[in-house]
Amino acid sequence: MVEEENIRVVRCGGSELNFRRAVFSADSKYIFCVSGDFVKVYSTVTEECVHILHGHRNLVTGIQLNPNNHLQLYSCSLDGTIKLWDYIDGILIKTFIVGCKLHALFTLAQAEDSVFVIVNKEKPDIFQLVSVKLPKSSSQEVEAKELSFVLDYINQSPKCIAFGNEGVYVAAVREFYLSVYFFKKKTTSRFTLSSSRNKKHAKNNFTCVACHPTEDCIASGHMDGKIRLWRNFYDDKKYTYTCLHWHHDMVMDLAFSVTGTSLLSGGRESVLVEWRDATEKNKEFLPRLGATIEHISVSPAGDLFCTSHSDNKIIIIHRNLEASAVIQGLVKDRSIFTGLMIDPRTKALVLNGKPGHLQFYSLQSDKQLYNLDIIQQEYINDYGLIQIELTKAAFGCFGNWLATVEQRQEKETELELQMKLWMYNKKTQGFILNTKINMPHEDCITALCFCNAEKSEQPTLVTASKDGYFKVWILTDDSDIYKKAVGWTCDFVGSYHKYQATNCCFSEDGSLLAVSFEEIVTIWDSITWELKCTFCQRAGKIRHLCFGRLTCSKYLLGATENGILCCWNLLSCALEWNAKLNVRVMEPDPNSENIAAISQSSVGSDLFVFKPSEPRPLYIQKGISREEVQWGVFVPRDVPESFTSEAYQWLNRSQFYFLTKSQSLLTFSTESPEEKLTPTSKQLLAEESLPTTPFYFILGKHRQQQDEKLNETLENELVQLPLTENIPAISELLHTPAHVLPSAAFLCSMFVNSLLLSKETKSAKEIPEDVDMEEEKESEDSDEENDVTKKVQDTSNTGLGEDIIHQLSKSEEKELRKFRKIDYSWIAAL
Amino acid sequence: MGEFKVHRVRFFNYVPSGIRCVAYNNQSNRLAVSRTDGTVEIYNLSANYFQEKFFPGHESRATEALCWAEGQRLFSAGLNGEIMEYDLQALNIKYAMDAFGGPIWSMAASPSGSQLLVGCEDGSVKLFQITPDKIQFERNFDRQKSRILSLSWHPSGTHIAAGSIDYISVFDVKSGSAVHKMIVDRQYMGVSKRKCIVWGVAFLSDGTIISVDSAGKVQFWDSATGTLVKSHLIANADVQSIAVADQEDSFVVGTAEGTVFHFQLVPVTSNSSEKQWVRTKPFQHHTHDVRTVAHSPTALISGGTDTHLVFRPLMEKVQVKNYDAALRKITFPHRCLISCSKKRQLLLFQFAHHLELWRLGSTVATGTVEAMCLLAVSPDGNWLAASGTSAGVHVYNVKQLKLHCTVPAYNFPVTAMAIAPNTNNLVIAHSDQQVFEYSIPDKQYTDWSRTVQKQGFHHLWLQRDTPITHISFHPKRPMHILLHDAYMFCIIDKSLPLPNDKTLLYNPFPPTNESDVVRRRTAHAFKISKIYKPLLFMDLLDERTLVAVERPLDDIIAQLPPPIKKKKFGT
Repeated sequence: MVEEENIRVVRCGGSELNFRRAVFSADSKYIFCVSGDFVKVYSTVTEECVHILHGHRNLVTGIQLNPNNHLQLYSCSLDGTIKLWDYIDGILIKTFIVGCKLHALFTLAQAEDSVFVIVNKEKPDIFQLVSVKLPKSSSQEVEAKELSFVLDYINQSPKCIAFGNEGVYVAAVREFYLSVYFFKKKTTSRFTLSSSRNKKHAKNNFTCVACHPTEDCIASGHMDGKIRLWRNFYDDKKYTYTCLHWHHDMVMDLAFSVTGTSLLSGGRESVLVEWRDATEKNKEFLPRLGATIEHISVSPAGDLFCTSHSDNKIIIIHRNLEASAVIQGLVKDRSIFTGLMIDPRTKALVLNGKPGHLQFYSLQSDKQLYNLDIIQQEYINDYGLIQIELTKAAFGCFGNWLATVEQRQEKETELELQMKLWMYNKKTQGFILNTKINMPHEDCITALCFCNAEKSEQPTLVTASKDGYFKVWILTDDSDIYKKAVGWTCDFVGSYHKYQATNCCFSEDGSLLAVSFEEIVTIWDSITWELKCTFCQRAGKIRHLCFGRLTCSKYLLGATENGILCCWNLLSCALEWNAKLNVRVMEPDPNSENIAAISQSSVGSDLFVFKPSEPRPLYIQKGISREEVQWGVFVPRDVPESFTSEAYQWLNRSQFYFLTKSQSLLTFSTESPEEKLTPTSKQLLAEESLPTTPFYFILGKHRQQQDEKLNETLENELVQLPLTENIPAISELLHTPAHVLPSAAFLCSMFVNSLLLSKETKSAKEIPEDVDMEEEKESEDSDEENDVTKKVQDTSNTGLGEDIIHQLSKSEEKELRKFRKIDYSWIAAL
Repeated sequence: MGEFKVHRVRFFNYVPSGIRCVAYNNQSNRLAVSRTDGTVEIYNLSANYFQEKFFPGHESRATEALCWAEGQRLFSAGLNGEIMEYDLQALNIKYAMDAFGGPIWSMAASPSGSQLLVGCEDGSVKLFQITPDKIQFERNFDRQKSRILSLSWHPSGTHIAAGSIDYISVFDVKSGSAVHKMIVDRQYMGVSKRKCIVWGVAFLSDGTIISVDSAGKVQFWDSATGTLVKSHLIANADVQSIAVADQEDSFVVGTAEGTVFHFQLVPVTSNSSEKQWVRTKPFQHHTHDVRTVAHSPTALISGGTDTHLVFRPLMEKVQVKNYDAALRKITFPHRCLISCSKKRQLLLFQFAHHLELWRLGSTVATGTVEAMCLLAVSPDGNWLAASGTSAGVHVYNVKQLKLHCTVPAYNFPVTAMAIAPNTNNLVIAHSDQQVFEYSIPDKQYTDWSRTVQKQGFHHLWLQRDTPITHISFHPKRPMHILLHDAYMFCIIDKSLPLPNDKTLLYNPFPPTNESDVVRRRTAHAFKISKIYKPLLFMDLLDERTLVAVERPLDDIIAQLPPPIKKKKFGT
């Protein structure tokens, strides 16, 4: 069982992948990117995360390949260390302790035993480029305190530093000047652009810099969208530059191709521009990349580019400007209006994503599953344009229905409001628009909720609006003679003394509806839509409203703007208790009676977990975040934990995630979340990287066994589906030469059968003798769930194996058997 | 200083002709400019870019090519098929000689200056020998199929490059035969039906030929092998002109879009000797076609259809940051094109080929066609001051018809002069913005002039762009001198103290609410008004009335042919 440590707040994935330039491995097979405190290694082909390199204790700020060994990676972090990794195995090789905050890392092939980092010494905004001598030592942790100063008063961003022409010089830009430091001569040249206040030069600021790999040429990007190519810069007087101008907004990043024949630039236009031969007229475009290009990097082999975008996405692009892979993290570009929701079907976290989209984000695999285009309009990326915003969304009826509200308000009186209802289609496995309601209310919709009662016969949706009404929408037959089409219509309109409706909430069984009208809470019967009773505490407008669950379903909770949390008893229609708590987020746990409330004070945010039946909280954690917490949600666990300690019991069935103002997604955990990542993905990739040779079968088998051992120790959360590579029948079918195979018609049913998951477990009896007994033992040792899938695989293996063997010639058959019987595991141990 | 009633005249419908050719002479630091109407002007770049000499032109003598040869001799050739030489002393055309090859499109003097090469409509390239007083036809080169639009000598004088339509030919001068013929792509990439006109070629000493053409390309060719080395597409329209620096480390091209591009030869890396041509800075000082460019050691010179002559200094070549380092744009001639009859209130406008007489207050126009005359100033009474193009000013006694005296010679040419009505003081303005007052009866500079010279002019006064073109006097206030250039009009009050470098030059009118003491302290001799610009003429009609003739640039541009339309972002 899980050890009970202290509960701590952890970052749970979703961190920025676009914080720094991504780095390619030398063979372009992997791409590395910083992600919060970790470095992630992705495969450039499959887009899968191969390894997460964890070890840093603060934000990772720079990564670079080791120029002397391209199988190693350096990383630096704000925790003051430089770490050297073996990225293929995901192992930390060495830690160099520098001691001060490191803001960026650069390596040079010429400077063999030193790397360059950006540090800030005395004042908070003065940054220096220093070179750090990495001492040669065999120990794991080495102190690297030998710093030598290179450049002062530079920009913090690594985009503003570039090393050129095999390390002869380094160029740095800041504000209106470019400084070039020559290592041999130890001189600095400085070139200043006019920064006069007149309009023409007002946006001359440098934004980024790149150096040509072979020629003495520095490219600099500017605020006004110009790119300048500087040459002759070793002469203070004779220096000259060329201008390239296509971008209309600031140039975010620049990169030269490996040979230097072309220059890549990107910016807010979301277009990657390739300038060939650095001429203005000869340029190629890759448009519609979706979001602002933040970084551009080029693989050392020269076959791939990649762009990091502001919507937390990395696009891998072929040399011929074709996007080949997309690595998408949690989109964090914009403010979140919809709050955090859980899709009941996929258990994915749902929130605002790209402009006009809802994103479905898998918390387990830290990966975006898909985007649902809600607004369905072309997004025009222009500053100052008022966009349609997706403001509310809610899931209903176990994920069968999704309601979304979008609005656009240019002036006080011109409100455009639209509500859309989406039905889940099992065939297409996606949401399909069912009903579109224009102007469902006269004013902004403040709350939206479905009646999620299990026995409700008719899907019901309630919307509350500032116009003083709440409306009940029900699903009815559409005007179709076949009565097959369904649509949503308004069933009831309620109001209370023209007060603005601020919240609405259904009780767990769906029999009661609570609607808050500013300071007053009204309770309505959901069958007759009669006003049952009202509660009024005169403690300010109601900000949050929710019913208790399970044993506490007789309670109604309301949090007001004046910092009062009230609990009413619905049976006695009286206030049960109240407490002074400035509640920002109040979320009920769907699997228990617990309710989590996050309060906001000047120091930070505090978490309170309580049951409505008693005012004493179950659990308090102070200072969960320095900033304001905006949204929170309980995510049901697939496999319940069993914390025995009373304080942690609230985490048994669900996990609580919350989102702060700076959009970091945090959770409570007793262990680091990376251990919880499903091992399947790791295993999958390890196998893919091996070529399918006879050796593969031998070694691969051995590795499988090892992995199974691993699986035992780890809690396996997902049902492990047999992967095509794991079914020997299929792989043997695919890898046997075509001329020795029987006809396709003969193999067809067998092939299909092998793909099916059979329910019978009795097939285990039929295991023939020539299957390794070792493997058999393994599956016996593993726990129940694992056992089933394993055995299914075994059966299909044997079934097909026998059939194929009949078709093979005797000698081949013998050889194959010989291969299978000999234990080659010693090879793996070498 | 007083208030005046001003006739603000804007009906002087003067449109300068577009610039067709410029030719820079390194020896004398002079620039010859020919315009589309055949006018040739000589600018002295040492004398503050003053337009020193001027040859009136004629429509039938439109020049297509202009070059300096044998040091200081100026030749032009045009579509009438004639080669002309200009007499720079007598300011007339020495002779005109028909080349018998149809219209002449191009002309180039050999590096030694002793030979002249012309390219004709019929595809012939003709070589002329320059003799001390004439030119003499020597021989024809191999005749080509189409007109020769551009010519360039190899600096050694052994080969020439000739740009034609769709191809460039390289000739051997000794044999006169074509060595290479290099076909130019009609478009940068792809095919076009339109022919590619090679507007300009330049032959470098390392054998590289640079060509500019109507497809917008600047191309580098190897003349030894006849192959294309590199191509730069720089414009969507024609690239019409090219000029290479003497050191061959930079050149300049002008495009029909009005942009001038600078190319520089820069080392690839700091420690290698390999160099490459890189397009560096674009300059957009023109609105219309840049028909011609020149490359002086310190500046890029360009001119075109929009009639501006632009001097763009090369910052890296300028040693001191003085006023030479500023951009200069010359639009109007440095002469006074207008004269005014004070008694009868008439204005006489001088155009290229005719005069217009206007009566102020009415709009009746009378015109006569007449040839032009040179700078001369007549006095009120019996003195006549005459200034040549370079020598000093001579003062003649009109009654006795003999030379009275000569004003001591000064290095810079005279831009304007006038004799004051009562004192007979001669006021002379020079192209370096100096103003002298010379007393004719006393035959010496006046005391005021001596104090001015001792103290020196205000530095801002000396940094003005355009020369003073007209000087006049106030009939009632003998201490006042009125003078103006194209951008300002100034009254010099000799009774007030002179400004020094610390005082504000351009703030001559202190606010009226200040006390008299302050006003007197801040007042200085130069009272400048910049209300009227570009100001072509200003004079006093009587003591209360001024006449000012302006020619707004917008009016001139409105009469020019429309420029090439370019898509502007955001429209």
